[in-house]
Amino acid sequence: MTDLPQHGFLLPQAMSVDRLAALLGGDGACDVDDSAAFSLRFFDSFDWRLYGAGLTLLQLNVAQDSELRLKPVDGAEVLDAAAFDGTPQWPAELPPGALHDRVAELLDMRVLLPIVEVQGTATDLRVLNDDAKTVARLQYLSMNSHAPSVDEPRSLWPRVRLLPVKGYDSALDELARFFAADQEWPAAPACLLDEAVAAIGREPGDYSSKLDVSLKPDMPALDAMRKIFLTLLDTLERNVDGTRANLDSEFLHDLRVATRRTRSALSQVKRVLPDAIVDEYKQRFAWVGQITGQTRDLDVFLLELPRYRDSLPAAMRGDLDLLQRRLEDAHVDAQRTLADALDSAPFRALLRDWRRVLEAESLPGEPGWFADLPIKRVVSQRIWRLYRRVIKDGRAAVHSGEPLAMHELRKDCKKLRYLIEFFRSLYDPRLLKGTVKTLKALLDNLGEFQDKEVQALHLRELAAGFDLGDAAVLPNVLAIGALAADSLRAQEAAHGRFSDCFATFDSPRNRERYKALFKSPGGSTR
Amino acid sequence: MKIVGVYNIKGGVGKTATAVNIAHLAAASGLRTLIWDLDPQAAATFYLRVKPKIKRSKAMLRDKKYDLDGVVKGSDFTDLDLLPADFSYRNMDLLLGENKKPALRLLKLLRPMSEHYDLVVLDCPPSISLVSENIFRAADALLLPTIPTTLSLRTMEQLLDFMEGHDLKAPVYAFYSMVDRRKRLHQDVMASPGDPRCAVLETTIPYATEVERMGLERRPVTDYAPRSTAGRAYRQLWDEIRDKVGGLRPRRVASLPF
Ligand SMILES: Nc1ncnc2c1ncn2[C@@H]1O[C@H](COP(=O)(O)OP(=O)(O)OP(=O)(O)O)[C@@H](O)[C@H]1O
Ligand SMILES: [Mg+2]
Repeated sequence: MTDLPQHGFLLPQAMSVDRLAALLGGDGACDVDDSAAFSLRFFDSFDWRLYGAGLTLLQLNVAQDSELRLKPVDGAEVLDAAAFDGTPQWPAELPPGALHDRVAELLDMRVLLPIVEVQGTATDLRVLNDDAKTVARLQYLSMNSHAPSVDEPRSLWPRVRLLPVKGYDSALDELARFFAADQEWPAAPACLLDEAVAAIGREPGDYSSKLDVSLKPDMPALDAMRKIFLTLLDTLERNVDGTRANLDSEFLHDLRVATRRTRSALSQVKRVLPDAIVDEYKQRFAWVGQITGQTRDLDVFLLELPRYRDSLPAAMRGDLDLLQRRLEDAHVDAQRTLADALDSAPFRALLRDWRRVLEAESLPGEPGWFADLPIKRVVSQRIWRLYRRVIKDGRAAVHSGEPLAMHELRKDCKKLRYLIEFFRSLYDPRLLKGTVKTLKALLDNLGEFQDKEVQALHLRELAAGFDLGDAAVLPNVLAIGALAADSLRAQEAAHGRFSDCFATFDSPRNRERYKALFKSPGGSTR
Repeated sequence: MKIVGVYNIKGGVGKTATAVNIAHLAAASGLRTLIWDLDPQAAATFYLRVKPKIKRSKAMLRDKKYDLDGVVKGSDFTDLDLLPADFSYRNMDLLLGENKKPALRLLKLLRPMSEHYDLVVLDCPPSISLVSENIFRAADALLLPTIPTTLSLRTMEQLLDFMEGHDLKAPVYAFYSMVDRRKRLHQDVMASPGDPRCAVLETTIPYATEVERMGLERRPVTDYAPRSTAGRAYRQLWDEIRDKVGGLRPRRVASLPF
């Protein structure tokens, strides 16, 4: 038997049901039966976590039935399916099973969002033999792609599927041959997502929180910086709506990261933009950091809370309920303030002004000294200097074990990491890989050291917020105390690992890498 | 997969008409349905426009690994397939007798089909035999079309006695078939309390010429005259059976390739 394309054949746009029936001999040879409407919606996180893992999640609706299906992007087989009414949002709300587990694991704290909706009609046709007996079935599919971002539905290629009628193999073979060889209709792809998304003018994976700017080594520094700033601004802007609506906590997170990267690029890559602009926007973006800080802190707390709960003895877990409610209330307030700030004139003006600066033909004020130098020279020198500072301060911090020295070191490491990320495209990726890995490990260690301390402080503040005269809050305060102790213990552990982490970073091998990558042979830019 | 046998010791009571029409309704509701024509006279096969086979049953009943799916024929209706009758079914009793557990042979043959079907409807030949015992053992429910005459009630009792005697547990649902409301006898029989061992469904199938036309149309009544009295009666019957048997939920989404 011929291998049937499981998803049918793609038809020319003009091939309607009636024309198809006529092509197959018309009345008496091919009957057109019922049509049924269906719809399917594709879901993923804003940053395409499922697609990134090679999966698609779709919800198929026919009449009263609604089913979720998890499929590989490039394969036909359904990995798992589950009946589900309503719109899927949080992975935790999905019915238990393999689908839930896989989606929850990949999505983590992200919410499912509808990406594109396909509405279609499936029409059944029957091919008859000379005895008027049905010998094969066809399913004709016509479909449109819908999304709020496009005002009119966009039509997809019609398809026809060949469905066997048991016991009539030769008729099926003949039709398959007719479609593939005589009509030269191609097999339809296994996954509709790419076509449906393309039809609404998007592309799977069109948002990622990972910074990816491609630069040329001898690009004038100013052009390169504009490109980086514009990329960051795009990212920031794309997260504004989701942050305002609090769809999930990652929108705010990504918005803050884009802000922080912008600030870091402003202050780390010196003498490229005019000083006046650097000063102005450093301040204005610092303000964005401020208005978003409180909500983010609460987000982190609420995301951590289930883990906190699990770390307590079972008998104490319920004692965090009151704390959770307070945090949630505080979050509602903070979120409202944040949404107002994002709607405010200063915020909108900031995005508008910054874009205008970046897209302007020429910048106002005195151009930076390095504006016209090749970017790679400018940046290599900067990274090299920062790296040497990290080494020097790091060795001192290992020696002294002072928390303050570790905090300072963390700041510099972060700057170093951002710089390497911005300019990744200028360097040999194989060498870069090792530097990024060791730097990340060091940063994780320093981050843990500082975050746990901040957490403990934060917990103490929260405990102090309870009315300690009220005996009913005692269990809550005690539970918080247990958490604070845990945090401090974790901080101590991080402290204990610090010298090893730093030693790995400061290994001869890694030093060679930095030298090869960033130490400029041509001397200083000055 | 549920298996429903349509059975009566007596011939000509409307078994085949029932089997074909409810199988058609089940398929139209989205259940993947197989009708097995166990009667060598091949009436159900004829109604569904398939040619009966000659001599397959030997292999089918003897061969341990016989692939039933390989002899299935698709009908003119989506989700409705047919295992056509075989002329050699005349000797089915003898062939069944050669098996180790002769009364369970059909069930064993049918089991692998659960991958492909939600519902199997067995159209059974009349008489009590090893074939019918196989059917009683395989079925999740037995449907008993009964013409409301005193004689029919007697055969119903015979059947129930037989089942009791052989410790057969399948629930039996009788319903009145070919009912003529003008006949006093029909009315009296239907009003009388039935055998307590057997549930009587509410639906009755009237005597109607549309049903007889099935032989000319070679289609289910529920296809060519769904709104006729008989068509509606079969629909009501199917609804009642579906509720009684339970676990029959069609999945319409299954028909789409996405
Ligand atoms: N409700 C009805 N009204 C009128 N005629 C009917 C009705 N049901 C069945 N018939 C007719 O009665 C005859 C016997 O019906 P059917 O074949 O369904 O019965 P059966 O019990 O399967 O018979 P057999 O025992 O021979 O297999 C057929 O000609 C059929 O068309
Ligand atoms: Mg019959």
